Amino acid sequence: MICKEVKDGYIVSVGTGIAGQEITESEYENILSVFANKPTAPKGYEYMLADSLEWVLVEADPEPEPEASLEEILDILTGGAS
Amino acid sequence: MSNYIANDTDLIAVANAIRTKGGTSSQLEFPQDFVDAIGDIQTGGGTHVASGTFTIIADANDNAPTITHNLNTQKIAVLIYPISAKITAGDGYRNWYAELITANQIVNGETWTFDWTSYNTHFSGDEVVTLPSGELRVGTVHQSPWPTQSHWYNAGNPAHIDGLDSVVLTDNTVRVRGTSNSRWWCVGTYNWIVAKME
Repeated sequence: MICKEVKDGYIVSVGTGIAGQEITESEYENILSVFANKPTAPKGYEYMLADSLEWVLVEADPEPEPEASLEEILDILTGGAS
Repeated sequence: MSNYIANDTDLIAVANAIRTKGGTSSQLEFPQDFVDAIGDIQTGGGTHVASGTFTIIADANDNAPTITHNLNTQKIAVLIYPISAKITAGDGYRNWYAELITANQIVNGETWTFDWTSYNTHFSGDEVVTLPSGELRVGTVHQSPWPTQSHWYNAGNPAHIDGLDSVVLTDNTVRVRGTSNSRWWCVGTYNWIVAKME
């Protein structure tokens, strides 16, 4: 079974054996075809695919801060790095 | 004891069914050979597999799909690997990998956290590795240097750890989640496989 998952009006995933709204193979191929031509968004923005298969430019979520590894933390604690 | 009459057509049909199930072409003489052949038929065991493909269209924290595999919750392994996901060098939050340790029994409805420190084997590409302890892993190495622990690094931030954090299993589905503060799903297409060991 082929399904698409739609959140807040945007298609977030499509695939076989996944939960979501069942779609036809034709619709599946169409979504993948549109996805293959995703435009490049400017920095700080991203393109979301609306259920209507139109790309919508939205503000991107901020990138999360990276976590430090144990080595980095140890390095900081021992004065080896800042 | 009662007596019954069976015609040869019916007996042949039963014998054929036994041969098919038992994987044999031997002549079977009624009744003892029938009994013996039925006793030789292997039951249960083996590995059952479900698989599929999904494409992440929107790259965000919680857009992992829920996979329906219908193999119930006992002794299953889940593998997800990219076939065309774009992993960009230097982008600190676009690495990922999948790892599943089948030595642990997944309990229905519970969250199972990956044991990051349990393995030190590294591999590259979409390689499937089966280890003697029953561990089954698939992953993609993004950047050197090779990590000394079970963590994946990237060129932009060698200290950043990204990837899958836990699996939530309910009945016949698997939902894979990332770490809480990372956008771990790369936009792209992935294959998924759920294998059940009897």
